[in-house]
Amino acid sequence: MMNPILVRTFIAGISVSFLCAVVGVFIVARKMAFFVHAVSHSALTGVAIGYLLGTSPFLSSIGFGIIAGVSVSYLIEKSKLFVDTVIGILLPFTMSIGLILLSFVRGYKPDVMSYLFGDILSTGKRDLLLLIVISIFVISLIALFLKTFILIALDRDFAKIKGYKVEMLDYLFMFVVSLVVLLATKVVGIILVSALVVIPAATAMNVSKSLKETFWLSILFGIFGTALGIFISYMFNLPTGPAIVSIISIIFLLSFLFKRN
Amino acid sequence: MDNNEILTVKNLNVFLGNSRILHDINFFINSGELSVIIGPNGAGKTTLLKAILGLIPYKGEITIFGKDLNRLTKNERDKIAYVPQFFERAYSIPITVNEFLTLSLQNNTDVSKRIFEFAKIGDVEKFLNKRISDLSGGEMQRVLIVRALLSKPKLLLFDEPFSGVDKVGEKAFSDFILSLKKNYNVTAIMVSHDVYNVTKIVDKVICINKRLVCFGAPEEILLEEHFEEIFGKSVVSHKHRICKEGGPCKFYEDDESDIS
Repeated sequence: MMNPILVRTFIAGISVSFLCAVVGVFIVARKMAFFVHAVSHSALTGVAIGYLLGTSPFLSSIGFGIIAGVSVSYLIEKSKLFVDTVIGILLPFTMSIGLILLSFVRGYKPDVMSYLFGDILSTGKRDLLLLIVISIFVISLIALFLKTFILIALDRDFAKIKGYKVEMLDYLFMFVVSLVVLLATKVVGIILVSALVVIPAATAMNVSKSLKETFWLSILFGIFGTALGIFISYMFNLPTGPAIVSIISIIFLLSFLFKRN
Repeated sequence: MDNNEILTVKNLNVFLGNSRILHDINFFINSGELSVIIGPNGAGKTTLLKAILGLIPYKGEITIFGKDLNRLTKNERDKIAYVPQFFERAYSIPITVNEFLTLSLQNNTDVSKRIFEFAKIGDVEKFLNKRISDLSGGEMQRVLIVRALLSKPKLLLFDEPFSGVDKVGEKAFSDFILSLKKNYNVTAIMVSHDVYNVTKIVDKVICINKRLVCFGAPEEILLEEHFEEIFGKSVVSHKHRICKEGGPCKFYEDDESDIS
């Protein structure tokens, strides 16, 4: 009989890595890796708000992170500033606010390190249920808009000419990405989350012959790397998030041996 | 409005910040016509095209298929197609030509059949399984033309189709566009800074230099004064031209001096 904590860890890790692998293809295609950082770092403010209000820090981090992600999208569109400038402002701002708010938390002080580097082993039954429900919701959204998101990622002007409400769909996309990124912070933490999103997709792009193959290989590399990372961290008592990131990074390096020109 | 008009532009003004890029442009295009927008670099040709495509904000009226551009339904918009001058290919994304074309046909059931039909017309069927990042510039342009044709458009817009194309390519493209007009009754508008290539095949010329300089059939409006107004004397003289006094001009290159 397997340890129930380990079972929950595997289910959580595989669900999240699946979502990250799919969303990661869009993130790499749209050169939005920095956006992932902005959303994940805002999660700390959400965690602090959760502690201060006495609600679930996981749920409040998702709520606040989505607001931050959609705000980035709004600011990029309205301010006409470069994406990296907007994110360069928002990322340290939300992180700072989060750390200040955490200093006001009385009584039990949350372990900041577990949020920065992930704490998948602490996934409780309620967290897992929430994670599965949100995962099903995100998968449904992605399935519904998959082709549209790909079209916009490849050629925005073409999509606009054909009558797609590109700006509105951008907000929906940012919402989906924010949700996935925030789920992933539970697995690998705020600092390492971009690795789980970007690396499997980048690895798949190195070796794929088509877009369809890219999605499937990204999912395969993401799930395999996460499962192996969890297993190794369990066997050798290593931190789980860094173990997962190390494995998927090694797979990425190996993919260069099979890289298509 | 004439029932035959497929595009009408009235008092069109486009601003970029505080500067006015286009001033009070007025013209119309009838169904089945081939037209060209000509003008020097910086005249606002691509800006005009982008306004017609609804890609940039504008003031004035643009009517397509008898309806205000902003009121067109998604199905009506699907009948407008555009072939850009450049297509920024994300080289890291491994997408095949077939996948690229399939994506542009989201609401159709006969996707494979239609792709095969138009791939044949555009001569791209032999590289349907190639990644778009592996195509040459000329091959990519053909793929973009095929993508534009897939929705069986009523209005087709090209941005600088002769740019970077050799003489053989120019002739092939001219023949191709004429065959589209003949076989599919496509209304096409091209943007070009090259008067020589396009005025031989089009029904209408729209010359602009921030504002409308001339508009009409080439044999009626290609006057020397218009060319000097939009291109300047020195630029026009790089191609030989014969202008009847007070009448239209014809253009030819060194190896075509018998054109007159």
